[in-house]
Amino acid sequence: MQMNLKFTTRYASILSLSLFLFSCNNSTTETEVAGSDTMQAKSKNPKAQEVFYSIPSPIETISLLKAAGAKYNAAYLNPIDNVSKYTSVTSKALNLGTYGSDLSFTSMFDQTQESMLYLRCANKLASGLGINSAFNESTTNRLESNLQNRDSLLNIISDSYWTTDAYLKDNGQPGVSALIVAGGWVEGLYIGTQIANSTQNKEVITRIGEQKLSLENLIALLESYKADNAGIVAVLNSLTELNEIYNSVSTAAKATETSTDKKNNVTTLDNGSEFTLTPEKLKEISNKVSQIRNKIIQ
Amino acid sequence: MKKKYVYTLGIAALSLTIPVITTAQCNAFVKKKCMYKVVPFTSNGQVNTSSLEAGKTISLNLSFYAGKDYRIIVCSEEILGDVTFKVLDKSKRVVFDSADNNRPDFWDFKAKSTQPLTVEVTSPPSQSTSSVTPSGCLSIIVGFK
Repeated sequence: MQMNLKFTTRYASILSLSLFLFSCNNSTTETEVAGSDTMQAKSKNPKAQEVFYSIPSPIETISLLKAAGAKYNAAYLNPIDNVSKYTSVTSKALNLGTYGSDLSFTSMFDQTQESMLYLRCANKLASGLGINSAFNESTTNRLESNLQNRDSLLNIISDSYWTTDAYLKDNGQPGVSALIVAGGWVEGLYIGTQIANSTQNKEVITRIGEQKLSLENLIALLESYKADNAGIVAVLNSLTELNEIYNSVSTAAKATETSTDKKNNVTTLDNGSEFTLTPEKLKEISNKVSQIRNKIIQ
Repeated sequence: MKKKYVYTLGIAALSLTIPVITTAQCNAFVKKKCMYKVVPFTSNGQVNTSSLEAGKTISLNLSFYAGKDYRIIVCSEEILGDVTFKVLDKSKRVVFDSADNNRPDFWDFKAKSTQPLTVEVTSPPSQSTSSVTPSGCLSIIVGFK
């Protein structure tokens, strides 16, 4: 009898452990990816086991603005004193995104002292979310050692983003990660609209128009996690309103053409897209982004 | 009889663990085995990692900016076999197919115009006769410069 109980307990434990390991953190969505028969080959895969939506990192967005001729202005950034205000998980996540974006901005423009301040803000919020493996003392030390090397700085920041995303997904909090992404994107767009309005730089304005594509993916990303995190709903509603404004931004595009430089083994993709933003549309987008961003950082 | 029953139950329970891989294990695999491949590009900082079953597909949707260079890396465990990937434009036309290009695990390109693309990754069906479908870690990493 005792022997049977011992065996039963042991194998019941194994069964329990197996069922725990079998539970999956990732949400799965299936989507139709099939194309129809045409002259050019189309994908024929009927369904995807999982669909990811990714958006450009703040580093990428800020680098585009800089390449377009943008100048540094600390007035665009979320004041560091605001960091103490953020007590809920939602506000911490969103503003880890905003401060991450601000850190990308200060780093891109070689503002080393400001970079350390924004890193500390990101560190504080990351710790508040239980993320101790990114934006931490180790990251601070690495940044301090690489202050004179912008490329290394940006790689370190990028690593921190990846580590944060991985930690949250490993721990069943992909919705929190999506909020960080959203906060970072809104801040990047806010900075861009401020620069566009003050300089009327045509290339910057075009970059604002191009954000239409990223916004669509961001909305899809948030949609996929809104059931996991109540804080996502309000942000999603605001971004959906912004998307309605972007809907009328014309984006002339044709079929993607590829051309390959065989000597250097590089392929270029071009669909001829042009994102036209009228002054009125820029104003509308700027006002809406300011409204969303101010709500996030207040 | 009871001893045989719980023994069988235990073996059945153990067999459930064989194809299961946690997200944390996958991300650890990606960080160790794959992330270095993004150099000299900068990672976009987002994790697109999944435990993929043999014979299945995962896809990644994102936009690429005019004037930037990109690297798309597909990193997978050996158990998934010869994984291939395609890059599709908005109309689902194939602009790159790794199967037609010696099956590289990454692809570099320049974006002359800003455009949305989909990266579609497929694992070949399992050749095993086992009723358990193998699965393994797979990640799509995107770098830019």
